[in-house]
This record gives sequence, structure tokens and C-alpha cells, in this order.
Amino acid sequence: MDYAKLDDKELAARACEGRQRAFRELLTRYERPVFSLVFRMVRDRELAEDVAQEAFVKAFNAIHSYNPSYKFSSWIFKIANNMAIDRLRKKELDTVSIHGSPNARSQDEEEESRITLTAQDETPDQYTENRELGNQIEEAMGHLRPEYRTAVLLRHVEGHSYQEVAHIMEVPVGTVKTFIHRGRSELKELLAGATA
Amino acid sequence: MNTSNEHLTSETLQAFLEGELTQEDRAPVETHLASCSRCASELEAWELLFSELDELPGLEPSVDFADRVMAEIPARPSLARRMADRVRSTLGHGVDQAEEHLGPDRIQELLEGALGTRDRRRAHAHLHACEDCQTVYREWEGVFQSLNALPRLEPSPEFQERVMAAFQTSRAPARTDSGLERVMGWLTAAGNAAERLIPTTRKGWSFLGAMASVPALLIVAVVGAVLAHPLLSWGGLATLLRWRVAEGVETLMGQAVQRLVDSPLLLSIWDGVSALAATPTLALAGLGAAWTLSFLAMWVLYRNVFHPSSLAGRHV
Repeated sequence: MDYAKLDDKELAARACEGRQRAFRELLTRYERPVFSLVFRMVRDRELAEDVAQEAFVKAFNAIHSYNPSYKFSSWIFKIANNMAIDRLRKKELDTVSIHGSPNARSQDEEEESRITLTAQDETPDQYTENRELGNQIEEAMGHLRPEYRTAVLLRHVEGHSYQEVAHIMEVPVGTVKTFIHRGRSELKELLAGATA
Repeated sequence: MNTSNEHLTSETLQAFLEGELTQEDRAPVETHLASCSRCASELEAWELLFSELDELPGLEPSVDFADRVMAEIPARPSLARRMADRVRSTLGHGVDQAEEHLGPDRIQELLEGALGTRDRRRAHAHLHACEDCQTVYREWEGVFQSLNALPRLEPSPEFQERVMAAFQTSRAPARTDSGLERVMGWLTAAGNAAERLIPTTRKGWSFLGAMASVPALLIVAVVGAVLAHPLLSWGGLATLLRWRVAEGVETLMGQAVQRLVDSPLLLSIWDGVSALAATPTLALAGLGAAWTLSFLAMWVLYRNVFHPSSLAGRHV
């Protein structure tokens, strides 16, 4: 049987039966879209591959819970996006500032005794150092709030409708419209600021 | 709409109070309210809020408020001017310079093709006449082009193998495409297909019930037609059935006895017993062994069923 000719729902049904080739075909179809979304969300190639891998493993292990009334792409994007958002939150928590010594007699001493721990996988200049995400639009994208970024990427890169984006992000369609419009407006300002 | 098991949402309660529910939707809500104190008390709270809102007094503006507002309203343009504006608006040619500029949302909708025909025509008319908006529109076009040109990024070449390896280690061994597992796969697929046939709406269940009752009705009709014959009665049918069953049992028993008598096994057992009877020592030893085995079986039964010993305190 030629699995490449089957649609996503048929592949998911065969994957439910445990067919390895069905899993592999689904992976072949969605590895680039999912990785692209996750990479642009977490903005670190190595971390993005880890998150995308976790998303696929989680989805494949839960293939029985996939509801064929919805697109498979929406389902896998929802899982991947949620994992990327979780990882972004975790990255924020990984940066810890330990307050300066309470015995400091001046502000300078307090500053000197303050310790800031930053996660090893996050550097402030990461955006510009990363060649793949180094052009203007990619850099501007990195400054958007995560929910704006997801909505804009799903709309423009993946070509999803507003309804599909709403389903993936689990928010109302009106909210998606707001996310996308505000995201684009911020991008426009950032791009104008970069060229000025 | 809530089912009778779920609590009513605030939207349903408000629609209920405002009389916006249809008769069909209203009945289950009333049923639920009669049996759910939580929703009933929430309904009371909404009623209180509604009555308080209804009782809010109308506040009076100052005496000269109307005059001041009217003074701000420009005089109505002449009939000729109004007709000319109407024609311009309908045909979409030209635009009044005083018309509002296109906002970011409008421009984005225009670029996405999300505006209706009339709004699109108006927006284009404004763009045609307004240089400021043309500049902004071009900037937006640039943003859209940049976004639409964003490529999908490639993961590393070994990504797929990594995912499949991680997936394999995270689950039980995969099924192959052969033998019993293939049959199980078909059964699972058939189960999934059957699950999809289960109705989810009241209409669906009604249709399924009607379809399922057709064979039952047919059987009842056939039985009725048969029993309508004057020579047939329930008692007669029962007697016939009893005869048939007795005849069948008798035949089966006869066949079983005949096979037993004809079987070489029975003959071998008879020969064995005859040989044992010929040697009394061997017969006694056999009886002793049978008695010992029976005693052991009884002891095992007693220790495990009638008086089991506790396992507590023993090591595994």
C-alpha cells in the first residue's frame, strides 16, 4: 500500500492500528511545518528540535485521542504550540536574580553582591547571532508576544484560516483576529524602526 | 444549550430571563432549574441584577444641552449636493477629501481580501484619492509580502530518525502486519467505524430506533399471521416444541452411549481392571495410591479454600 497517497485522516486511522509506516508518513508530512513553528517560537535550533520531537512523540502516543472531525495539522500544531509556550515560560523562569546581600551598606555593595543566573541556552544576543533568524522580519518576529507570533505564523506561513488558528490556539476567532492585526501592526512599526 | 446534567451557563440564564429562548430550549432549562438549587439561586441573583438595572433612573442633562448639540451639527447639504454624493458613493469614483483615512485594521482587511464588495470599492476609492493612505498602504503591502515570503525551516537531517527512535522507546513494541495482529487491527478499525455510527443527536437516535424496530415489527406481524390460523394455538405450539426437544435429547443420548460402547478406550479400561483383579497386590497398591492422592487433594482444598493461612509476614 502506498501510504503517501493516503490523506491525513486515513493515515491517523492506520497509525491507531500501530502501523509504523503511517507514523513515518505523518512525520514526513509535518516535520518541517512543526519544526518551523517551534523554531520561530523558541528561537533556538537545538531546543526547537527537542520540543518538536517531544510534540511528535506525545502526539503519536496519544494518536487514539485524535478526533478526525478536525484537521490532523490543527491537532499536531496545537500540541507543538502548547509545548513551545510551556518551554518559553520555563525559559523565563530559568533566569533568576538573587538579591544582593542584606548586609550591604551602600547601593554599590548591594549591586556587587547580587547574582544573576541565566539559563545556558539563552543568550541576549541570540536573535542577531542566529543566522537563520537573522533577517529583519525574523528579528522583528522575535520581539512579538508569543500569542501574536503563533497567530501570525499560522496565518502567513502555514496559511491556516482564522477559524483553524482559533482552534489551534483554543481562543475565539475574534481574539485571533485581534492577535494577528496587532501582531502585524507591531511588525510594521519594528520594520519601520529598523529601516529608519 | 446545557443538558439536564450540566449546570446552566450564565448566557443561558440571561437568555432565559430575557425571554430569548425558544419553547423547545426553554423546557429543559425549567426542568433543570426545578431540580438544581445552585442554578436556581444563580437565576435569582441574575433576576436581582436585572431588576436593579431596570430601576436605574434616567439622568437629566442640563437645560441647554439640546441647543448646544444642535449648534454643533452642520446644516444639511442641498439636495443637489446630496444626490451627487450618493452617485459618487454608489459608483465608487472619487472620494471626498474629508472622508476618514483608512485605519490599520481596514488596510489589513483590504489586503487579506476580507472586505465586502462595497467596502472594498470605497477603500479603493479613498486610496485612489489620498496620497497619505497610499503611502501607508504600500508599507503594509511590504509587511504582508515579507510575512508571506517567510520560508518553512528545515530540521536537521537526522531529526526524523531521532523522533521515530524516541517514539519506539516510549511505547510497547509495534505490531507487525501479519497474523492475529492484523485481524486485531481489522477488529479495532471495525470498532472505530461502528463507534462513528452511534448517533449523537436526538434525531439520530430516533432514526436508529425506527430502523431497529422494523425487523421486530416484521417478526411480530409474521407470528400474528401464523397464529391467526384457526388450527394453530399457543398450547399446540408448546406441545410441538416439547416433543421436538425431547426427541432431539433422546437422539443425542443414544448416539453418545453407542459411541462409548463402541470406543476402544472403554475396552482398554475394562482390560486394565481385569488384569488388576487377577493380581491382588497390584490392585491394593493402586487403591493405596488413589487414596493418598485423594487425601492430598482434600488437604490442599482445605488449606486454600476453607482455612487459608495468612500470607502476612512472609517474604516474597
